[in-house]
Parts: sequence; C-alpha cells; structure tokens
Amino acid sequence: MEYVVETNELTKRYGRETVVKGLNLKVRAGEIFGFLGPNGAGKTTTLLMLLGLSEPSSGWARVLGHDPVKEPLAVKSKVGYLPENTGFYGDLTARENLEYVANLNRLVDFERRLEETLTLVGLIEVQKRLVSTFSRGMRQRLALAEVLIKKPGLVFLDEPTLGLDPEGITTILELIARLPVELGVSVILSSHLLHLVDKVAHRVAILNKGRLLAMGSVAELAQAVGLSEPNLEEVYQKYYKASGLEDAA
Amino acid sequence: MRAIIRKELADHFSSTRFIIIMALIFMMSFLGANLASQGIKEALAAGGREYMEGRAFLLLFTASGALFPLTVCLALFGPLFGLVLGFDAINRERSNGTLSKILSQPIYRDEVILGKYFAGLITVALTLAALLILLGSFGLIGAGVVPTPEELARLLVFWFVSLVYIGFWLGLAIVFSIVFRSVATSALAAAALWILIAFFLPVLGQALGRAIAPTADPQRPTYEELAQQELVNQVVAKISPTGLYNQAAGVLLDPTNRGSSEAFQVAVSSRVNRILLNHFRGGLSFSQSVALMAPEFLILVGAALATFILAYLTFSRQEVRSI
Ligand SMILES: Nc1ncnc2c1ncn2[C@@H]1O[C@H](COP(=O)(O)OP(=O)(O)OP(=O)(O)O)[C@@H](O)[C@H]1O
Ligand SMILES: [Mg+2]
Repeated sequence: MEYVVETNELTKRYGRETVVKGLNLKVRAGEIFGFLGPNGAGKTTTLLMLLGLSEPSSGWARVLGHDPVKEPLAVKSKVGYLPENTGFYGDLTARENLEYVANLNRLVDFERRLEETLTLVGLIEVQKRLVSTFSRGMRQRLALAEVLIKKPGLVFLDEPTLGLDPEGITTILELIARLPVELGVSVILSSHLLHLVDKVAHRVAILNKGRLLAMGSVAELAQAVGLSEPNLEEVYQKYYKASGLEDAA
Repeated sequence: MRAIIRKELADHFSSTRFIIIMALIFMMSFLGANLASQGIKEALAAGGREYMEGRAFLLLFTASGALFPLTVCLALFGPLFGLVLGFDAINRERSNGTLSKILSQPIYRDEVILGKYFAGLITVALTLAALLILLGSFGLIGAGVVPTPEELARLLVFWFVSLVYIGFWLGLAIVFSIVFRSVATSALAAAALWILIAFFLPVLGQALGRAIAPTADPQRPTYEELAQQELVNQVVAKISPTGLYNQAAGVLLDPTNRGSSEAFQVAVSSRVNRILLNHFRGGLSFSQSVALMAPEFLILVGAALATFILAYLTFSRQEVRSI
C-alpha cells in the first residue's frame, strides 16, 4: 500500500505541555482523509509538522516520500496547505493574489493554468475584482485555487468551511470531492462538521488531546464500537466519550 | 525571493503613505533648493565666484541660508521614510492571515525577511537618486551652476551614506514589525523612537553640556566652558545615528567642513575667523573629506547591519505557531 502521509510516534511539546502525543497516521494515496477532533486536539499542530513549518519534538513523518524536517521545500512544493484562518491581499485582485502564489512556487508560463484553476473554483468571471470586495464564500474558493495552482499531489485543508453558509459549504465540499477523481489529489480534511465529512471522506482519524483515538473508514469504526449503522457522528461520540472515561479513570 | 521583492516594490510605490512622505521631502527640499539657488545667483553676481569655487553646486543641497536644505530634510525625515516603509512589514501579513500562506509555499523563511528588506532599500535608493537628480537639474537651470566632477563624486557618496542611514531605520522598523503583534503598537513605537532620536537627543546633548560645564556668567561664557559643552554635545551626537549622519553629510558636501575634531574650535571662534581660516587653507579634497567622515560612516554601516541582523534572527527564531 502506498501512503502519502506516514507518521511514527510523532510528538510535539510546547514547554511542559504535550499537544501531540505519539501519533501514528497513515494516509493512502487518492483518498479524502477526515482529520477530526475537538478544539485544541492538535490537528493544526500536526498539519504544521507535516509541512515542515513546525519541528516535531520527537518521532518522524514522511510526506510524499520526503522528510518535512530535512526537506521542507520539497514537501511544500508538492503539498498545498489551506491554513485555518487564511487571508488575502485585499488591495489586489483575485487573479493577482493567485499570480503571487504561483510566482512564489516558481511556476513559469502559468497563464493557462491560472485560467483553468479560476474556472474550476468558479471565479473566472470575477478574477479582476479586488479581493476586499469578495464574500466569505468567494474567498474560500480563492483559497482553494491558491492551494491547487501548484499542482499538488496532496492538500491539507484546515477547516475550509469555517464561517460559510450552507450553500457555500456545499460548493466547497463538492469541489473537494472532485479533487481525487479529477486531479488525482489526495486530501486531508480537518473539520468539525461531522455529517459533511461523513459524505466525502473515505477514512477518518479521531484525535483528542493530542492522542489518536481511532483511524479507519466509518464503516470499520462503527463495527468496532458495535454500531449497526455506519454514522460518523455516533462513531465520533462513542470514541470521544470512551476517551473521556479513560481520562477520568 | 524575486517574487517577494517585486510585490513589495509594487506595494511601496503605489502606497498612499509613500506618496505623502515623498511629497513632504520633495516639497521641503525644493523650497530649500529654490532659496539656495537664488542666494547662489546673487553671490555669483556679487563677485563671490572665487569663494564658491568648486562648491557652488553643492551649496544647493546644504546652503545654510535656505529654509530646509536637503541634508537637514533627510536627517529629519529620512528616518520617518525608513520607518514608514517597514513598521508593518511582518505584523500586517500576520494579522491579514497571509503570512502562514506565504510560508507554506516552497520558499525559505529568510527569503521573506530578505525580500522585504531589499525591496525597502531599493525603494529608498531610487527615491534618493530621483531627488538628487531633480534638485541638481533645478540648480543647473535655476542658478546656472555646472557641477564639477568632484562635486558629482561627493554627491554619489552622499547618496550612499543617506541610503545606509535610512537603511538603519528600515531595519529597525522591520524588527518592530516582528516583535510587536499589533500594527498600531509598532507604528507608535517607531514614531516615539524617531522623536526621541531626531528631536530629543540633540536637545539632551546641549542640556547635558550645560549641566556638566555650567557657564558662570551667562552673559560672557568663557572659551573653556563653551569648548567643554560642545565636546559633550559631540559625544552625544556620536551615539545618535542622526548625529553621525549630520557629521558625515556635513563633511562630504562641504569641502570647508573639517569634521567633528575641529568643530568645537569652529563653534567658539567667530564667523569672521572661520571664513578667514577657510580662505587661507582652502577646501579639502574629495579623498580627504571621505577619509574624514569614514569613522562616522563605518559606525552607521555597523548600526544598519546590526538592525538588519536583529530582524533576520528574531524572525527566523520565532515559533511558527505564533505566525
Ligand atoms: N505556540 C504554542 N505554545 C503553547 N501551546 C500551543 C501553541 N500552539 C498551540 N498550542 C496548544 O496546542 C494545542 C493544540 O492546538 P491545535 O491548534 O493544534 O488544535 P486544533 O485541533 O487545531 O484545534 P481547533 O479545532 O480549535 O483548530 C492547544 O491546546 C493549544 O493551546
Ligand atoms: Mg486548528
């Protein structure tokens, strides 16, 4: 089996506090991988370590065959990252924002690619408008375009639906669902909207307080906790409560 | 890094604050040059040609009779220029949420800080060059004075010294933009520092001088008292970048200026004496002036390098998560 992400006992400490504890993740090529957990579980911290933006305290990771600590540039040129509160240059147009990201990736002759990506996210008609005039939904789609412009093999999407209305959420999720099929991009999707992750994710990992509680397809996890019907929300609750009991004991 | 420099340059040259501060500096130095060129014309007509030999053109930039000669303008507003170009370099991107996006592209962190610093320097270098050329042609047409090659060489070195001086403030501003989370705090800190060094320190030097060597009879200060006060003043000026810049620029643009070592003599000797002295000794050559201002210049270079390295280190050591 080919893994796009593999971690071994990945750990991050801030001072005396351990926020990611011995994480062993395996993400397969071509899948949408739901990365779940309550606030403060350590999801963003893990993604930063996978990108080489934060150094692990111990353990290691491999991302698309590279070690993020030793080869951060190789990882960052192949992985698209949508940060949880991403921003734009409001005084530039959508197209200029996207061009800047393309330039930072040292892409050349990206004219056509720019148009394709803007078309994919449905912003081609408004590409000449200043981003400061964009709605939240348009911004998130532009963020997705910025992630895709570099032709990534893998993308990390940290709460891409934050603050969107139901329609906006559906649009983004439909786009995400198309990524593995049409562009061959694997996806790690962090979100709190379980019913939506349930719709698009092939497999999920549940994190709490830096520890991995479960990893697998929703059906597998449901079976493991004795649920007759696979339902991510119930699976999540079961694991979450069990971890709470463990902590109390 | 090229992409970053290009974007930052475009930002600088199109920003309102750049235009405002440019307008301020250009207006004041044009006013100064205008008055100076009038004065030069009159002096030339009155037969002062011999006295102004080899420095008529430079007087455009320094003439003390003028309201605000370029040197004074740059000493005061150059810092503001550097600070304005850099005080929000990092913290604005942080609060906009664009910093983590940039850093997740395949570039080194160094490139972000280097790119911003060099873009600022290029902006300053181009603006200064434009200012010198504009003022120069103004004098050429207005007063009809043609620069000698030596005067041009002096101006070229002056351009570089000014670049280093403003570069010091730019580096400092970028440090502020890394250390202070809030753009407003950073702007306030920069403004406070500017006022402190540009306005307060010279006054402090004089006050300190008077405190250390008080004049017994304020009506008739003695030579020793004045000399000692001036010495304290000089020492204080040496720890201020503005003081250093003033000294270096003064020596460079005025062949008769013999620098700080002699300044206190000049300060106490009468104006007539000074003019006589200069008349007999003649001006310094270009290389003599450069050698004379070298210590001040080197301290400025060191200070500018120090602020840049500080910016570089604080940024590359910062925990990414706080980004
Ligand atoms: N620089 C830091 N210093 C100390 N602790 C930190 C630092 N950054 C993050 N933490 C802590 O690490 C823990 C994990 O944070 P993280 O942002 O990874 O969680 P998350 O799963 O992404 O949460 P959310 O769903 O709210 O985004 C939190 O308890 C947070 O307080
Ligand atoms: Mg998070």
